[in-house]
Formats: sequence, structure tokens, C-alpha cells
Amino acid sequence: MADGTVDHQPGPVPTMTPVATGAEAAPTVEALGLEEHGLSQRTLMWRRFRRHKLAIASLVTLVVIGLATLLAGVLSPYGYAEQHLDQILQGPSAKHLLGTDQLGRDELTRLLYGGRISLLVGLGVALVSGVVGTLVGVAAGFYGGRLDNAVMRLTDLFLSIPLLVLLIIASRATGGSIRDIVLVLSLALWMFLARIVRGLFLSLREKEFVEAARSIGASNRRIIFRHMLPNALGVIIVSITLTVAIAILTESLLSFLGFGIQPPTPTWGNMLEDGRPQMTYAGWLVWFPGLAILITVMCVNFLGDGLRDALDPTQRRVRA
Amino acid sequence: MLQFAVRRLVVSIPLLIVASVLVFTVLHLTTDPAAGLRVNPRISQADVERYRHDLGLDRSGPAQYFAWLGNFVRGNWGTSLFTSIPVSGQIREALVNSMFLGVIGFAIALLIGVSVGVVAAVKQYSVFDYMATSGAFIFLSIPVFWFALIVQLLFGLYMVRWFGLSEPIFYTAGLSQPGSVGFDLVDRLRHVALPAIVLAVQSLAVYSRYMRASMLEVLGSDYLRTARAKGVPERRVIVKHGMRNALIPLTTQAAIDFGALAGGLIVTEAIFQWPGMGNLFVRAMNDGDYAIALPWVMLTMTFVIVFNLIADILYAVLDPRIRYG
Amino acid sequence: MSGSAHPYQPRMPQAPEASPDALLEVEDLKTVFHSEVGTVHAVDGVSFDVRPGEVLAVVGESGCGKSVTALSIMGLIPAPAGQIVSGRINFRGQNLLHLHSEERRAFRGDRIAMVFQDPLTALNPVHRVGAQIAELIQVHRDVGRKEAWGRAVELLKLVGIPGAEERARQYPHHFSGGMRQRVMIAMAIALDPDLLIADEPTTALDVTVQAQILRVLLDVRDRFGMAIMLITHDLGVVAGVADRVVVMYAGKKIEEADVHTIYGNPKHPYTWGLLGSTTRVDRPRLEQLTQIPGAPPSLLAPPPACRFAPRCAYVQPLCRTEYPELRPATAPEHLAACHFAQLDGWEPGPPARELASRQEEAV
Repeated sequence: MADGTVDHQPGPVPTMTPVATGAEAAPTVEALGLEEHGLSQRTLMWRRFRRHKLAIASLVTLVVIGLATLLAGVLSPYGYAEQHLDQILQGPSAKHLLGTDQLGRDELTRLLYGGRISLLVGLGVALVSGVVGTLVGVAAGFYGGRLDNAVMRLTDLFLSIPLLVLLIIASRATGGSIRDIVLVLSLALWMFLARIVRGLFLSLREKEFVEAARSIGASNRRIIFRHMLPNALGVIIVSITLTVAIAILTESLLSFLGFGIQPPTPTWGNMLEDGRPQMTYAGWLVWFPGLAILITVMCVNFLGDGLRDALDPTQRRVRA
Repeated sequence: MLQFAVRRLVVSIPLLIVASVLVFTVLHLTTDPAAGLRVNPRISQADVERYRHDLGLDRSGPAQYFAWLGNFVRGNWGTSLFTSIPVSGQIREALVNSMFLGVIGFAIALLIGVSVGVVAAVKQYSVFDYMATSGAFIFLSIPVFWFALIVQLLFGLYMVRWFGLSEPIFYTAGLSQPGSVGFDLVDRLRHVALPAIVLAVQSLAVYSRYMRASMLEVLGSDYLRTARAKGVPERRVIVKHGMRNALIPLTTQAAIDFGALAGGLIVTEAIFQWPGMGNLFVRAMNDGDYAIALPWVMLTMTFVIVFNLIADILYAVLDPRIRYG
Repeated sequence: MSGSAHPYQPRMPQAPEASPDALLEVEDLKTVFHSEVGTVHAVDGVSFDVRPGEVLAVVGESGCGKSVTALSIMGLIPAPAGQIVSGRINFRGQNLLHLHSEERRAFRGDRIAMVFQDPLTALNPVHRVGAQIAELIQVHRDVGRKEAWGRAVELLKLVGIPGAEERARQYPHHFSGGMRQRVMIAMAIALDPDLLIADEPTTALDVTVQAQILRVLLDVRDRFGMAIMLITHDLGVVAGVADRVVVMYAGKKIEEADVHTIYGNPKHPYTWGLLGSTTRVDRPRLEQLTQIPGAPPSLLAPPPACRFAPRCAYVQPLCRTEYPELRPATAPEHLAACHFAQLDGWEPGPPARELASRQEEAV
């Protein structure tokens, strides 16, 4: 439980031992003759994704948000640290679309720049933890034995410390720069992905097609990359997407508690912390950063859901 | 089974040691408890040195650590490096407060989450399901602290204004009314309501999704069809056959979550100024007070380890397929 | 009915039997599934009877609608995706489709029971085997737990599970595939149903075990006298077990006859294909196994005329324009859905093509 979604693993909800579904009773892809039209897996995937309108809308929204933050310099005439002490704590107006804070800084500008950082952190963490997590997971799952044991012990240690605690401890050991935060968050989050990938590879290793590849003399490297990884790709991509959401949330959390990126560099998290003391008479200082986080994270979650639907090749039931 | 449990616990001890070393190192290298004194021009250098010696701060890192460890395992948790308040008392009090909040929030989350999940799965694609799913998505994406702030605003400010109340129905900060003594249940409940709701709402979303997914999988299973083919009434099919299976993964997750309660309420406590374990930790970390931070970490990790163990045992109890033999 | 004294008398008031010959009458059953891509006509107007005490085999390849038919009879079609749109299912004269769900439920497990294909997934993994059998008994009869459990143990003994006392307390994953299927059968016969539907009961089992399970089914039939509707795609299974056979294809019944006629003198090209693709000891060794080329048609928009036409080796233009209704072939009891089924000398082989085209021209 605990605060933030951070204590729950990103990735698919763990399933129970698979049970056969009453497949005879409901029409499968075969029965509908769709396979006869020779649709490739990729086409089917794309079709499924397209059907998920919410995921598409989310993707579009995220792109818009991303562009807006990138173009912050162009879109806004103010700097994010620019103070107008004669216009402090003003509500939304024509001059300051989202109002100003206690130092007269324009909220919208700070929001845009802050977004840049939040998104950067989100993507950066997803990338780093994604790469590290996948590599470690593959190695542990494929080679097993002592390597696997070592990895499990290590992740056990870090996973038994509540995530936020771990992050606070780690952030105390480093500075408050973006690079540090990305490092700190990746340090904690790669382990979730590593465990998922490891589990996946452990089971894939036993599958017949691996045996078949081995029997024709394929090297280990080839087996991993050409045979096993493509099967795991779906899960990995979904996990990474969800990691972005978690990274953004966690970064704001850390900043809010004062352990993350330090002011005056704005992030959505420390904007919330800044705004809190004057929340009762300057509510906009709290509403907007929060909404920004909410919308971004929600879109990422929807996107992840759509991706999961699209990339899961085993899902062949037709929804009625 | 007992052997298994004991072995697990024993194996975890090195884990705890390593964690404590880690925390100690980080804090030791980044804090100077005497810093505040140093900048005070009225305190002489000699006095500062004496202060440091009294606290044992002039010894080397490892020496300090082992001194602390030696005391810790003997039950002497010492006093805070910054105040002279005994650590064990502080932690105990904080733990009680956190548990109070945590258990209430947890119970709400579990009860409502499971019910919503089951109904959403049974009535898949219905309006209820759609709303439950959207609601869960929203709550999963809401930054907790923002939601907490909104709730504070809502109950503390807007509702009072709109309804012309003299004071809020549910309080927005603290454990009890300032100046009150003793334990007043009603007052305590009025204080715990908002943080508990904030806590519950997060987990609720997760539990309902878990339950829904698990239930959907079970609902499509062959053995449910067999139960219906036997002529078992639908209600019983859902509960005795469906939920009995669908609850398994959720129960183990809930056990794990419960273990995380000891150390996990950092943000909620910060916002609602609830004097619990989270608050204690943040303060200790801000100060760099390893006398508090180390036992804190040991305690919370032990909680997590114990409940993870319970979760595994529970899994074996509930699912005969994974028992040994 | 049966010779052995059965302590559990049926609780249902017996409706007057409209037709003393048939236990179950399926008349023009149509079951569909609604999906995102359209409506799938899984069962498209199927009629047949099941007589008391007989073993009726329903044969066909995957997707032909045989399982859906069984589920329709049981009332286990998942709504709202699935729907029985028309037809009658008369059980002892009562149209099951006119009953509401509670009344329907009273039949399930009590008068009509079903055994499913995969016994591992069909049994609840977290309930003890004995409890699962006892549950069925307790749901339909007013008996206590102990008594129901005792009966469960008896039933396990009956289907040949050694050490039934201890095994009843075990969980499904402790049993092998064949044993599990015996448990399923024990469960199905608990209340001496009139009809036992077995949906591919041996498909998930080893070949050696298959024979055992069929033996158990026959034993049970001999002892209790129930009718068995055996659904399978495996003609090898049918030969030693069935009394009559119904062959289904693409949601329709395309041939029906007693077992000897089906094997000895079938009249539908699809049946020929099915038999040709089975190994048989009574055929010359050098004969090749024939394959039926192609695949069954999509049930989204079934072709208006003969559904087997695209794959039939003897197809004529008539087959593509007019649907071949079921007609008596060698005997009134032998029905086949082929325009040429009644021709003299209609047998598998090149001459049949000649016959068919000549008939075509004559029309």
C-alpha cells in the first residue's frame, strides 16, 4: 500500500496459473476465418491498437504536452525564474494565463519548463532502468545458476526497503541535479523490470522453440536476441511505459518532500511544495501543477493499457 | 513449514545488516550533528569537541557503527543525536500512530476494492464496470500528495465555507485537537478520516483492478463452467468457486502491502501532519540523525520481511497446488 | 430403469412424455454469437433425437458446432455474447428453452449432466475432489455433508479409483489425467441423470487411457441405463462405443445413421473424407490416407448452398446454388445432406463423380 503508486510493480497484473478458457463456446480468430485473410501479426497489432481510442487520444495528448514543453521558450515571454515583485500572487489573467506565485513568477512558464524536466526525468529513467533492467533480467533468466542467485539476492535487498525510503536515502547521497535524480530513480526502478524479464526468460528458456534453435546450433547470443527477446518485447515495452508514469510521479513526490530537484529549477513536484503554504488563498498554485501531473500520468497509463492490448499476441478472444 | 519460515527469517538477517550499513554510511558521510554548534560564535571549539566526544562522534565511522550495532541488538536504542529523547520511545509512539492510520485505511481499501472488483468483473462492460475502470485509472494516476491537498482544501476550506460550519467535519491536520489530553475516540476518528481516505483511495484503485483482472480470468475458467453444469446456484458459483480462486493473488499482495504499512505513509503523514513513522523518518533524514534512522530502517524492513513471509505462507495455505507434496 | 436400487430419486415431477421414443428432442436449434466482426452462426438449424439408454455420437471437426450444441442443451451458452435464437430442446417432453433460469438449473447436474474435455482445468483446483462431488449432491438433494461425502466416495469406487477413501480428500492436481476424468464422470453420474453429455472426454488424454475412459462410460451406462451423447472429432473413438452417429459440419447436421451404416455405407462426401482419414484395420494396407483439402467456411456469413461444396471432390453446379436438405438415404433412419445421396451406387470413388454429373444434366 503506502503512498504513491510506487510500491506496486509496474507491468502486467500478476496472473494465476493459466487456465484454459471455454474457447469452444466463444468464437476465436480461427472460427471467424480472419486468419485466412493472411493478416500479419503486425497488422493485427496495429488494428488492435487503433481500436483502443483512448490510447490514441492519450498518445496525441502526450505529444502535444511534449511539444508544448519543448517550445516553452517560444510560447512564453517570461523566464522561469523571472520575478515580478509587483505582481505577486495574482490569479489567472490576460497577462499571466495561469497566475503568478509568491515571487511574481509566471505560473504557465514555470509549468512548461517544469514539464520539460518532469518528462525528461520520466523518459530518462524509463530508458536507463529499461536497458539495465532488461539486460540484467535476460542474463539472470537465461543463464540462471549463480548469476541468477546473486541478482535475486541483490534485488531482494533493495525491494524490501520501501521505495520512497530507498529514494530518500539515495537522494541524500547525491546532489539535486537532473542527472542525479534520473540516476537515483533508475537505481530503484530497474529492479522491477529485471525481475519481470527474468521470470519471463526463465519460462521462455524451457519452451520448445529454444530447444529447437539450440539443436540447430544457434549461439546463445542469437537465441536470446532473435528468438526469445521478440517474445518478451511486448511485456518489456508495456513495463517501460508504465515506468515513465511511475518515474514522473515519484520525481514529483521527491521534489515535494524536498529531496529531489531543488528550486529555483521548477518541476511540477516542487511547484506543489512551493504553492502549498499559500494554498488557501492562491489555489491556482496547487491546482495547475497537480492537474498537469494527473493528465500526463493518466495518458501514459492509458497508453500502456492500449499497448498491452495490442502487443499481447495471445489474446485472441473476440470481444462481443 | 516452520523450518521454512525460520530459514527465511535467518537468511534475512544479513539483508538487514547490509541495509543498516548502507544507511549509516550515507548519513555518516553527509551529516555533521555538531554543525549547528560550530556556527554559533559563543560556543568554543573545545566545547564543540567535548560535545562530539560525548556523543561518540570523534570515533571512526566503523567504530561508531559497531558501537551502535552492539547496543541495538541488546535492546538499547540510545537517544537521538540531536535531541536527547530516547529513540525507542519515539519510534514506538510513531509506530502506534502509523498503524492506527494504516490499518483503517487498509481495511477500507480492501473491503471496497474487492467488492468493486468483483462486481465489475461479473458485470463486465456494464456501466458500473466502465465507471469503476475509469475511476481506478484516474485514482491510479493522481499524484497522492496533490489529491491529499485537494481533499484538505475541500474539507478544510470549501465545505466550511459552503455549509457555513464552525469547524470542519473531518479535520485536516494532526492527531488530535491541540491542547486536548488523553484519548478521545471520536476526536481521533475525525482526525484520521481524511488521511485514511487518501490512503485508501490509492490502494482501492489497485485492489479493484487486481480483483477485476483476477476475477475475469477465473470467470472464464473451465471449472466455473463445470460448477454451473453441476447446477450450482449462480451466487455460490461466484463466491465459492470464483472468488475463492480469484482472491488468492490479491490476498498475498495485501499481506505484502500490510507489511509496507510500517514505513510507507511518508507523504500522507507529511501533508496531514500525522505524527507517525513517515514523519519521523523524514525528520531524521533531514537532520541526518542516524540514531533514529537506523532503528527505523531495521524495524520497517523487518516488518516487510515478516509479512512477505506471511504472504508466501498464506499463498500455500490458500492454493493447494503449491504446497509441498 | 436401472437394475441397481438407487437411493436418490429424481425430484422433478415427470412431465408426460410426448414422444415415448425420444428422451431428448432437439428441433431446428439455432445458436449464435455476437462479436465485433459480426454474428457467428455456430449452430444453424440442427435437429436430432437422443433415445433413452442409447449412445449417440456427435462427430465433426473443430468449429462445426458440436460443443455449442451441447452447451445449448445444458443452458451454458454465455450471454450476452451468445444467444439461442430459435428452435426447441425438448427433454422428456418439456421445452427447456421455455424454462427460466432457476428451473433450468434444476436440470443441470441432476437430470442432464456433462463431462468436459480437459479434466485438469475443469475441476476446481482449490477444492478437494470429494467435496466437489458432494457439492453436486447437496445442491440438488436435501442431504447432510457426511452422507454426501459418503456417496462421493462410493462413486469414486464405482468409476474405478483405487483407495477412494483417501483420494477423495485429495486435490485435482494429485490425480493423473485419466483419473481426473474418472472423477469428472463420477461427479456427472452422482444423481443418476437421464442424459450424460460427454464433450470430447478423451481428447486430452493419452491413447492408452482413452480406451479406459470409454470403458468407464460404457460401464456406467450399463449399470445406470442413462443415455450418452458423446461428442468427438475422433472417429476411432466412435466405432466401439456408439449406437447411432450424427455428423456435423459448419453448424449443420449433414448425416445421421446407426453406427454400422455410418461405417459401412455412408452417403455424404464429408463422411467419406472423415472415414478416409482414419486408419482402419479392415482396409487394404496400401490405401492412402485421404485428406480433405481446404478449411470449413466462415460462420459469419455461411454460404447459402451446400457448405461442403468448396471442398467436395464430387461437387456439381447444383451444389453451389441449392442447399441440400437432409433426405433419407439407405433407410428412413439414415439421413444425408447431399443432392446425390439417394443415387444408386453413390460411393466414394471416381464413378461417383460420373454419377453426379449425369444426374446434374438430367435435372
